[in-house]
Amino acid sequence: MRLRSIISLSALLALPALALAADPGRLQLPDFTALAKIATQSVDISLDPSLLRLASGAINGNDGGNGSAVTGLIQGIRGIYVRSYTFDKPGQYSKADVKAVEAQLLTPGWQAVVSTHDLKQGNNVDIYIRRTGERTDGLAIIAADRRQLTIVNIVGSIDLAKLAQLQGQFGVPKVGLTLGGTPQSAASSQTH
Amino acid sequence: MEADPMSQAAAATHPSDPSAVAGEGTALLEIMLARAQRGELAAFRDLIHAHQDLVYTLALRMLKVPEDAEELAQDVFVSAHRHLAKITCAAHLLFWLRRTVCHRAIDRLRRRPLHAALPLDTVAEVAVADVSRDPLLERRLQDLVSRLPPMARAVVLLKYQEDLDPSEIATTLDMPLNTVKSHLQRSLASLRAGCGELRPIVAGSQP
Amino acid sequence: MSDEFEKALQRALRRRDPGEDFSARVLARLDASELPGATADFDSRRRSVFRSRWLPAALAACTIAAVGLIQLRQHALETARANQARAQLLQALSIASDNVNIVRAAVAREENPNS
Repeated sequence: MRLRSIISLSALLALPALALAADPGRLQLPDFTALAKIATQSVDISLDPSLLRLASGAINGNDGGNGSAVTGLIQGIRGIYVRSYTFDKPGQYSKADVKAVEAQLLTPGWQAVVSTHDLKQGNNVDIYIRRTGERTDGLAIIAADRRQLTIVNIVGSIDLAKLAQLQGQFGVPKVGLTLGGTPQSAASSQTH
Repeated sequence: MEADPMSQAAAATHPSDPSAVAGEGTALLEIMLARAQRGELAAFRDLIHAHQDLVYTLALRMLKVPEDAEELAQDVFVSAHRHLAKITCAAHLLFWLRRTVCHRAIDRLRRRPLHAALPLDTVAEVAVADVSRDPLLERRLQDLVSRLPPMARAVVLLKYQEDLDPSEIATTLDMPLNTVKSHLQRSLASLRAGCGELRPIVAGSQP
Repeated sequence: MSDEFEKALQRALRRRDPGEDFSARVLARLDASELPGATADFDSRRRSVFRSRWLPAALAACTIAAVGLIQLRQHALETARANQARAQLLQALSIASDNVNIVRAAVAREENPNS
């Protein structure tokens, strides 16, 4: 009985490690419900492998030749998770809100690829990549300015150059420009 | 002529609309559409907001009477709600709305013509009191467009109100491309001729 | 489209707003189309069907139609789900792309401060 308990306990403790091992490029994103409530616009996207397959099929059907650029880009991706919040005035979120994410990016495997910090504008964008040997497991982007916080986690490998080129092309709209030129309410832009 | 907007051919060949597809808000429109298809009325209301100017103005310029235009615009959205499940994407919805409002307006005009349309080859010149102000030119143009025959009017509206190119207009109205070009050429000529003393500033290239 | 006349025509034909309550009027019509009057008609038709000698064939046809409708509904739901996933994917890629380009632009400025 005692041995069985030890084995069960060990199995339970090993579960998170197993989960991380299965998806080392996946970040554990905190619950940002409180931020979403005060944001003027929020985006909450969680696409696991099954939803990615669904989306990929829909892109092939609807987007013609340009769709192949998008489907090619996401071929190596196993998940994509976005949390993005826009506020009407500065100071609505704090560094503590992103600490839990930053702490994960300091663990072995993750490395900062490039950062930009603009003191004048208050813009900071940090891009991290997680590698296991030659294989890329994930990508993380943390973008923080005075009125916006964005965290993107892409599980798997993605070509950053091709991702940058995708902006503004057919089917991939430029963000920041909302329908009718007015910011959308948090309720209407929130996605699940 | 009631369009069969849900035909596979329509869904497969609807043209991309640069202003809607590649521009801002496309992803939001897609999200609204998906939610409306799940039965969320608030999302359908948002879709109405996004497209009501387009639908109403096309109806108004085709039918000319605001009450008739309101009724037709409402009809189109009620019908869109019924057929939502068959809409594949935001661009398809845009195509469907334009096509449906044009076809239904033309049907109504054929059943009960509201105003006599001037034939394209006999446009009388009308003196304009003050030709130097744009608002008068615009009002004159609106009046002249309203007097075009229904199909020609629809072509002109899709070209100059909706900024579609001739091939997109041909697909929307189920019309041969050459017929679209012919309508545009003749309509533009009659509109130019109908601007009276404004002729010196309106001479320009063909469509 | 380049000449002044065509530009004037575009301005003359700009879109107009049907008013603040337009969507509410459309939604009110959607509610009105669900009136219970139709149900009463359906009931009386149903009674006559029961008395009909074509009842077995009618029941079979209804069953087939119902199965077909369920499948259509399922397909419509799947399509809607796929379209929503597609929209979310495109939005996510767009956000990621934007931020990558911010960094690229910043790096380019650092490397070429005089450009």
